[in-house]
Amino acid sequence: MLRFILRRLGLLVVTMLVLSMVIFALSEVVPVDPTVMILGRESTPEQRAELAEGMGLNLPVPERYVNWLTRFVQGDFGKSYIMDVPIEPLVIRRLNNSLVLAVVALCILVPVSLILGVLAGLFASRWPDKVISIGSLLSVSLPDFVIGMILITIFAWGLKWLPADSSLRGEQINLALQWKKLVLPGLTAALVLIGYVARVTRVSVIEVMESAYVRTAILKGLRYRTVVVRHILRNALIAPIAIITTQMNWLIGGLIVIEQLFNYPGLGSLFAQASHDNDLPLIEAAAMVAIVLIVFSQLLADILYAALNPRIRLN
Amino acid sequence: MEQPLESPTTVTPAIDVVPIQRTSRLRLLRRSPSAMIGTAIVIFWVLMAIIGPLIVPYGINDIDPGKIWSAPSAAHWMGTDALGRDIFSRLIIAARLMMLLPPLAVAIGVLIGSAVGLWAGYRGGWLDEIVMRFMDVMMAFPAVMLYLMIVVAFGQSATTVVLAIAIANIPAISRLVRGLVLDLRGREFVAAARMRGESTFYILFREILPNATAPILIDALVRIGYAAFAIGALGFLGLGVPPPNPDWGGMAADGRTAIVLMPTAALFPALAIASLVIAFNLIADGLTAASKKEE
Repeated sequence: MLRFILRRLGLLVVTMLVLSMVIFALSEVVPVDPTVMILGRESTPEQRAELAEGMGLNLPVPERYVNWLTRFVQGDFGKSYIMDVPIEPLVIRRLNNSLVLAVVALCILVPVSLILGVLAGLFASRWPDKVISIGSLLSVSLPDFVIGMILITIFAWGLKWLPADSSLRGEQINLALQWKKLVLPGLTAALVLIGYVARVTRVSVIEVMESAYVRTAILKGLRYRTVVVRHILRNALIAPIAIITTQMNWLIGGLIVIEQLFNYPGLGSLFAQASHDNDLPLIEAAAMVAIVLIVFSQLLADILYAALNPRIRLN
Repeated sequence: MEQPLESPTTVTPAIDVVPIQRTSRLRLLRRSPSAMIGTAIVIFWVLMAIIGPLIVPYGINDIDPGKIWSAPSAAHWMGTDALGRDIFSRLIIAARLMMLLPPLAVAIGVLIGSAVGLWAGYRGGWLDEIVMRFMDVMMAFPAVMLYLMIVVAFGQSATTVVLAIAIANIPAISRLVRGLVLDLRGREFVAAARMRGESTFYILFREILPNATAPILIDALVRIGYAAFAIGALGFLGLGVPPPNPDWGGMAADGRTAIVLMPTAALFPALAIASLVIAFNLIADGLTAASKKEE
């Protein structure tokens, strides 16, 4: 197990390095002069040249990459061009909000998709399976903002139960007071994945039910409930759990559209806003933070998967 | 998605190597009801893309100042937007963009992705290992984030949008093709071709590729649907195809500002995007099921 984790850790460092190079390379080609963005169009060429020298913009590219990465690792994310504030506290605050939203989405996604998938699998090709299959096809093929808009139309415009706007005053989520603002975005994110996870669960349950050990368990006269809980679920839930963990990168860094739709101040909407303003340091910082988080959650997922599945661990 | 499944979530459905005879592909399409529905939706939008400008009741910039955010009515079938423009007309005119850009983006992605996958899978060795590791790493990048970074880096235009979606699709496509090649390169007909002394190029493009087209095509269909969704998402974030051309994502974003007033303004363009994603999913699902039945 230790060798497994160490190997994964090595892979993780390489992954982060490669992705940091991609991010740096992309921001290198942006047709924006940082000195003009900071000093404004009225600045003189001398002022700009002086700032460029001070920022180290004249150094060769590899040297700048190393400097940038070193500063980033030390927690110095620089200053936003547009807002003129230090980036680090801003990104951390937004990241916190994003994680709260991801947890809400997971709390809806995991039980609902697993229960639906198991039901569809146990009742394969009878009516519960058919109803669930149609629902999951819809969930798989509807884009996230379409699902969000349908939910807004039903719950905010029609029933008036929940707010369509999840913007927060003070930027920090307060769960006790503002839980209502998390329901619709969280539900939207969960619905995007529920169909997919339920489909995987269904196939996995059907496969396990056809296996020799389940037939043996039934033939040796175990109660149906015991067979389902002890034999079927235990083996069939490994695949969907692995699938959910592969979607962590989307839940952390991919909720850009959903956050924007609900005006929720998470990392994704910060990234969208920074992209809109060509605010390079902010784009880089948000992307890097998202990627560090994604890579680590992937590591956790791998360990969880190996712990659940001895076949992987012993291999 | 990425969704992929690419869903938004770059979800790629598992596809088996199921060789379909060239001649039977159309017949398969006809036999599957879900594929038929999907095809009908796509044909409808293609028609709108061609004859749309002839049938729309208003111009895309015709303004009716007396009617702002009006509900659907006989005069305005889908209501009007913030400036009093007819949403139905704008929706139909925007269809042309959605019929051109997603297939183009996916075609570029398939071309490059297949080339990389073919080469890496056939050659094997350490280069294959490195290239595929790099592709895996790129797949960890959230798709929307990658789109946005590419659009910011190369400037907002239709070309950049196509480029961004093509690039984001390459890793998964090359992985798929490589898997197919690994499976095919051990078959007898490849060994036979090698024995005949055929060149690597001939073996790759005349022996291996023709036997891998079915799964690549089915995968590409799903990707076209998600590419339409990606263009919608970029438009929704204000970084898609630049104005003045109307685009469904941008229209949905405009409608979002008044969604508690008149949800139809955002819903209709959003549903138009959804119809494309669903249509391509249905065709791909139908083809997969039909070709499995054929076995």
